[in-house]
Amino acid sequence: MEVTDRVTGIDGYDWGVFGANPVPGDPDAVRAIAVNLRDLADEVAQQNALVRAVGSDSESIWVGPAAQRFRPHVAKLPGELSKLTTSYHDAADALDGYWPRLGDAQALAVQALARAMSAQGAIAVAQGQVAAASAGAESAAGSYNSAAMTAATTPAPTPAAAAAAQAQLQGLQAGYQGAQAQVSAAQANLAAANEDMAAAHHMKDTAVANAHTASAAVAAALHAASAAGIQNPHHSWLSGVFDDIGNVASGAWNWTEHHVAGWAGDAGRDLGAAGEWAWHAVDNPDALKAALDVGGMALGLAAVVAGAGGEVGGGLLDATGVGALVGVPVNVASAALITAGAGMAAVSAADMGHNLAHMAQDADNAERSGPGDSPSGPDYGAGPGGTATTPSDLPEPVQTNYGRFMKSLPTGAEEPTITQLPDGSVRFDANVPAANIPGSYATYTKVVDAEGNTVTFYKTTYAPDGSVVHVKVKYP
Amino acid sequence: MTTVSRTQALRDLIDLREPVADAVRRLRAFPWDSDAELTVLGPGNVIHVLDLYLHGVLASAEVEEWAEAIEGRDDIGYEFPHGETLKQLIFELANPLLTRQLEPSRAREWKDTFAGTD
Repeated sequence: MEVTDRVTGIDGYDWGVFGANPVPGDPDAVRAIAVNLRDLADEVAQQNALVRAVGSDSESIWVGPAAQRFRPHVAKLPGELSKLTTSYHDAADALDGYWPRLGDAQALAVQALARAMSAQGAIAVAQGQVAAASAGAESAAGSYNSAAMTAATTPAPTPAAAAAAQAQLQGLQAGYQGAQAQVSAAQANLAAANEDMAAAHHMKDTAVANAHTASAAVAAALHAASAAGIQNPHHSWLSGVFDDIGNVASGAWNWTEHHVAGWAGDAGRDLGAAGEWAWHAVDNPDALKAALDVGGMALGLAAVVAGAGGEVGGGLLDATGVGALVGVPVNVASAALITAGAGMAAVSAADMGHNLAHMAQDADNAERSGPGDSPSGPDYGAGPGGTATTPSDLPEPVQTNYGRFMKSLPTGAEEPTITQLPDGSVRFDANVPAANIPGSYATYTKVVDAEGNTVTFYKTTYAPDGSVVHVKVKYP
Repeated sequence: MTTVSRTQALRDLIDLREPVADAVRRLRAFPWDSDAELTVLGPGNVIHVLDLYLHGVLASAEVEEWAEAIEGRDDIGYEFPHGETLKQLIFELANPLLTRQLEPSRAREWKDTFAGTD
C-alpha cells in the first residue's frame, strides 16, 4: 500500500482492520473554505476602502448636498466591515492552521493502516504456522508414544532388534522435539505479529488524538474569530441545531452563522436603505443597481448560511473532519454551496462598491445640474464636488505627491485632472486608454490630504460602454 | 515598523518569497507615500516571475496579482536603463483586460526583450 506524506480524502482506503476511517475529513475542503474566506475578506477590505472614502467627512472623495444626506446611511459600515474583515481573516487563519494538522493526522492514520494490514497478514501466516507446527508435533508425539508402547509391551527377539527399536524411538523423539521447536517459532512469529498490530492501533489512536486536539483548537479559534466579528442579533433555526448538538463542533459552524448572516442582515439593511434613498432622491439607475447588488450579496451570504445548515442537516459525508470527529455528519455538497455563496457575496460586494462610487458621482452631478439634466456618464473634468485646479496652484506637499503620482503612471497615461475638494484634499485622476479594446480604459485615482499624505489610491477599469469592470484598491 | 522591514517586505514581494497577498498585507502596515525608492525592480525579477509562469508554477492570474501589487508604488523604482520597458511590462501584466492576456509566447517575447541584460 502506498503511503504519502500528505493524504487527502482517505475514505477510499479499506479501513476494515480498524472498523472505520478513524480520521475522516478532507483537508483540501477545509483549505478551500479558508481560501474563500480570505478572498472574501480581502474583497470586503477593498470595497470597505471605497465605502469609507464615500462615507467619511474627513476623507471623502464625494462631497456635496447629496453626499451629506447619503453619508449617515453608510457611516457605520466601515467599522462593521472592518470587523467582518478581521473576523474572516481570523477564521481563515484558524482553518489554515487546522487543515495541515488534519492532513498530518490522516497521514499517520494511513501509516497505521499500512502497519495494521501488514500485521494482519503476518498474524494469519503465523497462525497457520502455529496450527501446522502443532499438528506436526501432535503427530510426532503420537508416533513416539505408539513406538514406545510397542517397545515396552513387546520384548525384542534379538539384541539387534532391541537396538533397532531403541534407535527408532530416539528418531521419533527427535522428530517430536523438532516439531515442538517449530511450534515455538510459529508462536513467536504470532506474538510479534500481534505486537505489530498493537503498535498499529496505538499509532491509529495517536492519529485520532491529534485530530481531536486539532479540531478542538480550530473550534476555539473560530469562537474567537466569532467574538471579533459582527454578532448576528437573530436566532435562526441553525442555532437550534447547534444547541441540540451541544458539542465542540458547533463553534465552527456557529461562527459561519453568526457572522455571515449577521453581516448580511445589517449591511443589507443599511445599504439597502441607502440605495432606496438614492433611488428616490436621484432617480438614478445606478442606485437601483447598487441596491440590487446588496440583494445579490445578501443572497450569496444566505447561500453560505444555507450551506452551513446543509452541512448539519445533510448527514451524508464529512467535509471538514471537525464535525465528524465529534459525531456531527456534514455534507460535502453543502460545503460547495458555502464556497459558491461566498463567491456570490464577494462578487456582489465588489459590484456594490463600484456602484456606490459611481452612484456618488452621478448623484452630485445630478444635484449640480438640476432635475432632468442627468449626465450620461461619469464626469472627469473636475471630479465630483470640487473645482479644477493646476499643479502650480497646489500646496508644496501636495505638489510633491502629484509628482510621485505622475511618475507612477504607466506609459500612455493622459494628462491627469486635478480636483480641489472643499475639505482641502485634492484628487488626481488619470485615464489610460486600452491598447486592445477601443473605448475601454483605466482610471488611476489618488486622493491626497492638505498635508500631502495619500488618503486613497485605486484603479478603476471601464468597459467601452462605461460600465465598471473592476476596481483595484492599491491603498489603503 | 522600520524602513528596513518595509524594504524587506518590498523585496519579498518583488522576489515572490511569499504569497503576494501576504506581502501586500504586510505592506499595508506602512504609509503609501515614500519620498525615496526603497528598492528597485530589475529585469531579473520579471524574468524570474515569467519563468515561474512558463514552468507552470504560477498561473497568469497570479502574475497579474503580483504586477498589480507593484504597479504605481512610490517606494519601488525601476532599474536603469530599463525603466520605461519595465513599467510597460508591469502595466501589461497588471492590466490584461486593457492590453493582452499573458500567454507563454508573450512571456517568452518579454524574456527576449531583456536577453543579455543580467
